[in-house]
Amino acid sequence: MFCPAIGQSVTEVPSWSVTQSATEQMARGQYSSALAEIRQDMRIGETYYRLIGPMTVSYIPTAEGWTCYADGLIGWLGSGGTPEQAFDELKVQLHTAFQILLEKRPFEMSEEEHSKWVQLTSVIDLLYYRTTTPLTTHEIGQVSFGMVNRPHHVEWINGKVDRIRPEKAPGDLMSCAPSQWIEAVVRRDPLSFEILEIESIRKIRFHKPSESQLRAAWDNMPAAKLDSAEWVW
Amino acid sequence: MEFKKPPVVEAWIEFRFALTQEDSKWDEDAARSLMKTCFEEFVAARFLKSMNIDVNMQPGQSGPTATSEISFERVRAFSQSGEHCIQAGRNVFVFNQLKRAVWLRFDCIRDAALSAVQKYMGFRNLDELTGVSLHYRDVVAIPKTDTSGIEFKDWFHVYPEVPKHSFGSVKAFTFAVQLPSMCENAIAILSIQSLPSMGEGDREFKFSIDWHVSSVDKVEDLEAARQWLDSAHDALHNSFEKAFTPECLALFEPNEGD
Repeated sequence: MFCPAIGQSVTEVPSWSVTQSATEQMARGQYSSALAEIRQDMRIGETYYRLIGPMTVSYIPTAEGWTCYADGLIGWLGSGGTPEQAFDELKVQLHTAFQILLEKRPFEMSEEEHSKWVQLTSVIDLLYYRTTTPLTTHEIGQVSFGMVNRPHHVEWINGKVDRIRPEKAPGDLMSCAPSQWIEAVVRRDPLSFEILEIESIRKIRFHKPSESQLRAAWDNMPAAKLDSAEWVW
Repeated sequence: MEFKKPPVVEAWIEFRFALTQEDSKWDEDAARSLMKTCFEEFVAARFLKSMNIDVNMQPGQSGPTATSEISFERVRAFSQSGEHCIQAGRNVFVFNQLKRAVWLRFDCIRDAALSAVQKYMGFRNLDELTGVSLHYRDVVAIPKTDTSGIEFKDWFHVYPEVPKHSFGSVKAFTFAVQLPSMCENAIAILSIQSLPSMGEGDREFKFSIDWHVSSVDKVEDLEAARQWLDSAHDALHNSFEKAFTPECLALFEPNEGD
């Protein structure tokens, strides 16, 4: 029986007497549970994920230990011996899924992957991630001393020149001789593309071909024989 | 009826206070001081804060202006064993008991909560208790016998009913009812929700069943709070058995003779 408004004249008390919302009381009760917590962000090592809004993470004890799940993220469950281990496992699952899907273009995703991506990006602030997470690149360049008697700048093979900041570079970069070629792992700002840090370097032997050498290589390249059948793109 | 494997995973008691009197300052420093003075055995304290952002757009202004204010909500800390948790806010104190190894009897939880809140009240110079509430969280695991799912009515006496011929089967649900006559001087809310599956290998359907009972009239002091908690617990204890079918109660392994 459903009776949304009860008048004074009603003599028989119905089982349903709906006059107020249970939501507020329930929310207040839930708030103090120690098996739930609100998260604003997640960090896995150097990787930082800011969340779009507060995310409730709930924990459940099991026969083997603990499991945890986050509201709005269906299909991801962390488990471990302690609540902390369960959350760490959940974080790794989300981190892995996010990084795999981040590298894919939308048309490369299967329907299931697309659904996961929609879920993840409805919780993780993708714009913040893209604009604040440094880019790690592998680059080849040549050390130059300029007017000082120590490595002063690197000219990368794309033509860009960056000044060396010794406090943001590995020590062995400073032992390079003039014109030494290096292969470097570089962290750059995702917006300005400025160097944040040169993480590591490897001294290499490298020869940058001149303009005439490049032209000669192109001219001497054997012509490819293509099938005469009609191409369908 | 007593059970060898009760489904309870958490119980908590919440005390609320009036702020009409001259209470001491409450901020993060005060919370740290409270923890150091009264609850040194509780570790890994987390300070829960919230931020209010007001965005104003006035006619004639070139753009909106925003002001923000961070307010400190409460401190939350766990005992070394992880079985107890305390949460202290400006006018609220919560004692949580979590199931880690063995489940304590209600009177142990009640006494521990009353002892802890007494320390909080002394530190905060609060003496006007306005309300108290008792909460239980059960997690019931129904074994899967085949791939066809379960019928709620076989396991629960309280459940949402969705006509299968109109809507098909239910995949997940949250359901809450307020039960005014379950306990005297109290609002009781029973909420049931399905929990996510562990995947294809999961052999159980899990449900979280929350019982929230809050006092309605003012609770004068800690002795009155003790009496109210006892009556709320008795009401919950009686209602618990009525919420499940005998098949479901058998999963909790009733003691022989009950």
